[in-house]
Parts: sequence; C-alpha cells; structure tokens
Amino acid sequence: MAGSELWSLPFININNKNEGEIITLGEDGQGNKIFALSVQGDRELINRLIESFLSIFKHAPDDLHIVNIRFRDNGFLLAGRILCRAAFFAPLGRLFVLAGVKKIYGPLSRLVNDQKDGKGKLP
Amino acid sequence: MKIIYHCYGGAHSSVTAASIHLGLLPADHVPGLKAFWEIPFYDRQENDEHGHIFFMGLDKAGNEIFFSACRGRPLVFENIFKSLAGIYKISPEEYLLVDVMKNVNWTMKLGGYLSRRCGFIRIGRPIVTLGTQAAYLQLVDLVRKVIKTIGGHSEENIILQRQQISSRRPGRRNSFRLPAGGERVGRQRIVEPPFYKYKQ
Repeated sequence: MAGSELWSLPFININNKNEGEIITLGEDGQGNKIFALSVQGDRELINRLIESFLSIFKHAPDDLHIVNIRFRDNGFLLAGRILCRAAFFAPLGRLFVLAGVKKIYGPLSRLVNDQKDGKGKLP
Repeated sequence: MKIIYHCYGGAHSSVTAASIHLGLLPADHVPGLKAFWEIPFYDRQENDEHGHIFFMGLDKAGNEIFFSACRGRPLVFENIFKSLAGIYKISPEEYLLVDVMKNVNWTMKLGGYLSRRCGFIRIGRPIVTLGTQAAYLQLVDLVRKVIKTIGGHSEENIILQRQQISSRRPGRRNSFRLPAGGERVGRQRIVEPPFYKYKQ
C-alpha cells in the first residue's frame, strides 16, 4: 500500500473532536454497507449503546454487525501518533504511521477476508 | 419523540431529570431524601450497564423518556447516536439527547463515587442525595427548557407507564435487556471476540 493511498482514507485523518462519528466507507461486493468507528476505552459501553439504539428504534439486531479490530497500536503507530501532534514532525510521524500500518496489514486483511468468507468467529 | 437524559453513571442526575420530566418528582420545590430513594432507578445503575439506554416512562404528550450513562464522554455518546440515526435515516426531530452532567456538583460526584464505584451505599447515598437536592432547581430549569424545546406541554406531567420494579434489583425490569454479564455486578474482565454479533 502506498502512502498516498493510506492518507486518502477518510478515517486516517480523524481527530479527537469527531471521535465516535461513524464514517461510511461504501458498499462491498455483496451490497453490504461498510462503516468505520473509532472509539477509545471501554468497547462494551459502545456495544450496549448500539444495541439499545437498535432496540428503542425497533430495528432488527441482525441489521448491524460489529467487527472488533483487536490489533493494538504497535510501536510505530504510537510514535507516529505522538509525532503527528507537532506540525514540524508531522511528515516523520506519517512515515512511522505508514510503517505501523504495514506491520499489521497482513493480519488485518486476513481478518477482513475471514469476515467476507463468513469465517468470522461468533460469540 | 424519544428524549434521552444522559450523565456519567446514569444513576443520579439523569434519573432525577427524567423523573422531574415524568412528574415523579415535583417541579416547584426540592423533595426530601426519601422521595429520591423511592424513584426506581435512583442510585441503582452498575458499571456493567453503562451505555445501555433505559426506558423510564411516557410523559403526558406521549414522548418516551429514557436515561443512560456515558462515563464522562457525552460527545462520543452523542456522535455515535447521531451517526446511527443518520445511517438508519431517523430524523433529528424524533429524538433529543440531553446532557445533564453540566448540572452535577462535587457533592454528587463524591457521593456517587462512594456509592456506585466503591460500594459504600450507606455513606454515599445520603451524600449524593444531598448533592442532588442542591442541584435540584437547576435540573428543574433544564427539564423546563427541554419541555419548551419539544413543543411545550403542561408541567403537570403524569406518568402513564410505570412497570413493576423488583425490590431486590430495582431498575432491571424496565430495561430492554439484562446487563452484560447477567446478574454479576462490578468490575469484570471482558474478553471480546473479534466478531461481535448482536443477539436479543
């Protein structure tokens, strides 16, 4: 994956102010709508909130599947995040972020392919 | 319309505001300690229920009143809720999110911490109730503003729907679901599967 491809993704440039916003990324081959959500902290709270939302607005619980991307930030990603806070070091930070994403790209794409093939682990 | 009052722990300020809205608590004077303790959800919600939206009742105008806990992250809570509403094409006129946390004072925070986090209910509950009494008129003002915002019906709201509450585990029967982890309360280690599918 090239750096320019990575930075063109809408989710990569998210900041703290819009944490919790669900970003629409498009549709997959089967017509499923794909979204992205980034939240720090307790994910169970978010799961309960989404589940309650579906319940109070009477939507089928099967309407929405959440795939928890469990990969923790590796050293490159952490360093990149810190460096990107300062405008002067941002280009260097982006290089670190790119290296960090490349490091987890293989398992990440395997996880996505498993979901597409229906091999994702169910609770 | 669905009106959702939310605060840090969903146990005191949001429950009090929802109760004022429904007419369970008076809007013209500060009620006594026991009046608060008789509210079904007051000082009840546990950590493992945070995020869940609890139904409290219907007001006179037929609005559904809910409350929830967002653990000091109201912006994230509201962003997720609004995003989901956008995805499901739910009009913003169909819901109203009310952040009650702004009216919480230090007495409430201390009492709430002792009662909910530390489990010292005998000490914490009277303290948090005193704090709620101190913030009560501000909460009444907030509810008045909400009622005015949604179209202004009479303040003499009566509760039209109130279900039986278990004396041992108050609040759970009004919920759409049991808290995560069944009957267990308190801190638990959560091992999440990589794929989460909602179940009823």
